[in-house]
Amino acid sequence: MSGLAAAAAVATTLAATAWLAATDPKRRRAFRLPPFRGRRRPRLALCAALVPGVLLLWTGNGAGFLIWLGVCSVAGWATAAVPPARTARAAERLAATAAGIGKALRVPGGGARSAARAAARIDALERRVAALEAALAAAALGERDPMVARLADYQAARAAQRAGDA
Amino acid sequence: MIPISQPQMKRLTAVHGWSGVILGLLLFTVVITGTVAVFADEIARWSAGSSTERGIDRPIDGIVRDLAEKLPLFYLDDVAVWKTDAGELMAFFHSHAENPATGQPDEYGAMFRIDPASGAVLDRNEGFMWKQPWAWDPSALRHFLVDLHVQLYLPDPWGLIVTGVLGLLMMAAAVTGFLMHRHMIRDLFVAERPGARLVSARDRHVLASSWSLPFAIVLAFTGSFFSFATTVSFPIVAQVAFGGDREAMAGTLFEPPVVEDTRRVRAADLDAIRAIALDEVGGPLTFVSIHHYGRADSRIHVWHAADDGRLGFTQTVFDGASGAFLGVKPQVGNSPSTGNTIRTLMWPLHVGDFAGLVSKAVWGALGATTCFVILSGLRLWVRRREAEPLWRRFGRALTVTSLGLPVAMLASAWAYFLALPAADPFFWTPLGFLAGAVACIVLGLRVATEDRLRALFWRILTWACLLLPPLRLATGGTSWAEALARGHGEVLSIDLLLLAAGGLMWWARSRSRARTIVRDRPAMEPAE
Repeated sequence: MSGLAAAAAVATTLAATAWLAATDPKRRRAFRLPPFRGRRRPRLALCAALVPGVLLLWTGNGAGFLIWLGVCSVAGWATAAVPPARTARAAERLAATAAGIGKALRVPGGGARSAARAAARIDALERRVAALEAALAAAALGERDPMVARLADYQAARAAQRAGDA
Repeated sequence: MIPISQPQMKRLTAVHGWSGVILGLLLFTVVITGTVAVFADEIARWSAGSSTERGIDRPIDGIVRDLAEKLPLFYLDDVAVWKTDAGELMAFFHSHAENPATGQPDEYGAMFRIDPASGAVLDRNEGFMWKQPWAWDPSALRHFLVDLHVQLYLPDPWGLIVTGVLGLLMMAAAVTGFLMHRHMIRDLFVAERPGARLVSARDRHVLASSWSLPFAIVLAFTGSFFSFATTVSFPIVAQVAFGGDREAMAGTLFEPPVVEDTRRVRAADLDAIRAIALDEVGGPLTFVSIHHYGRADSRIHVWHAADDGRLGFTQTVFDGASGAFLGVKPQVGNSPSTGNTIRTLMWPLHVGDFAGLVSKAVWGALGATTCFVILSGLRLWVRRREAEPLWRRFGRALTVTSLGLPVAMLASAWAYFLALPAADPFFWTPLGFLAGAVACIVLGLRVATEDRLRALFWRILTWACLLLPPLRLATGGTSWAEALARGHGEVLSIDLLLLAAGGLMWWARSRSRARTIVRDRPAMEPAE
């Protein structure tokens, strides 16, 4: 339980730290980024960063407090040390990975159905191609297959229409 | 922000910079070995071929009683019982005598290495045993690395004094750095600016030191405390308050008052005491100390490791004759006090050993951050003066130390494993370190360019990491299958960590080489 409390405190503080880093005016100026447009609320974020540690101390979780302090020192430095461009790339990659994982998790139900539909459609197309090939072969031998006849009539009608248009 | 005048700022800069330059390389040595020493127990289990917890978890009364019955009374003055990282039980029956080698009072007695399952004595040694680590420490590698951190492998008490001074120096650097840096809060999120300029080097140092400032002060203070406690503080207290009688001081500070009664009685059952201690305080029991074994005034102290939210060691005291629980004893004095609370916090704050591997990993990361701060500060100093040949040479010394020290530590591990099957690892492990360090210094003197030197060190580190696990296995270390079957995590974890470190260094090196080739390729002429 005390371990879970420390983990929750660390997560809250790191989220607040990441927000403060992403919206920090000096950091954005140093890396020539446009000023942050939304409401930054630095005091609220600072409270969110520090209150978890105070709560750990308040509840007598000394070990949790020390771990929180240590993790936040190291992870805070790691968050701030990564330049914004690299952070953005990492965030994009993370989002893509998350999307990929989400897609993979959705596949088992929907994926099986769509695979079955695709197989049925391919079968139908293959049957139709085979029929057309057979008809064309018969036409080449001089037999007037009804399907080929319809095709020839259609092509002749289209040719006449184009000639008329011209 | 503290207002500081121009001359004050100049003085602070001088103190901050020169203190770092003069002793910075030694400080880096202490911090990097300390970062490794955080995992001393895990390294011991990995290198000694076992992964047993150190808690005394089996009956010990029969074993201790049998041994005590066969020994003269002189040896029963004090008895210490603990379990090594190799899973063997140790019992040291001893009294106090002057050690002719040092001229100081020391503990003389008979030390037994025992199989805890069968109670069979595996080894017996006699003498001033704390000076003979091979008899009680299963890992020469752990012993060497910890010794290097604690006293730089220098003789007593000079090593402790040097590391204590280095701790004070680190505190001075942290405090002056804090005072010098006027915009600490505003610069807390400014990452290293691109371009490898001077300001980039400054950003790198300032950012890392700002985030690690609280811990730098804590680690430095606690480190100095441990270094100076036995070498300076206790002798002064003994001289001032006890007329130079150190035993009287130790008795007052660390022993509960007992009315002397020399009658021989049957000693209390240690297993019953073990059960009561676990019931009263909980946590693994790591050490049992019996004062005046088998006497009516006997006292038994049981040490409980930090666990279940407890930050430091806890000590329970029992009557050694009746086995009655006498209470929890503060580490200093006999009643709870602020001084005792601070003293109790010193150890967990310094080594991070209070929540298992999680807290150790955090403390290891903090140690690595401190190493980065020291190196980035020294690099910044050199960068500002790189036009001068003397500082360029100092820059070379910095490269040799920062990359050569890990090489030398790995060399000590190689020497340890190579010596393990046939030779004395306590002799060869430090020699391996020395050989590695000398080789690195020679490379630093011989290799012409800084880039080549770095590449060479990098390659040596890569291979030293990648080949260490196979070497451990080849010299009879616990196999992965065996470790997995017994649920011993350390063996597998450290092997995998070394392989991952080697693999990462390989990848980083190939990537940087590919970049260098692309950068150095001549531009194509239009005719081509």
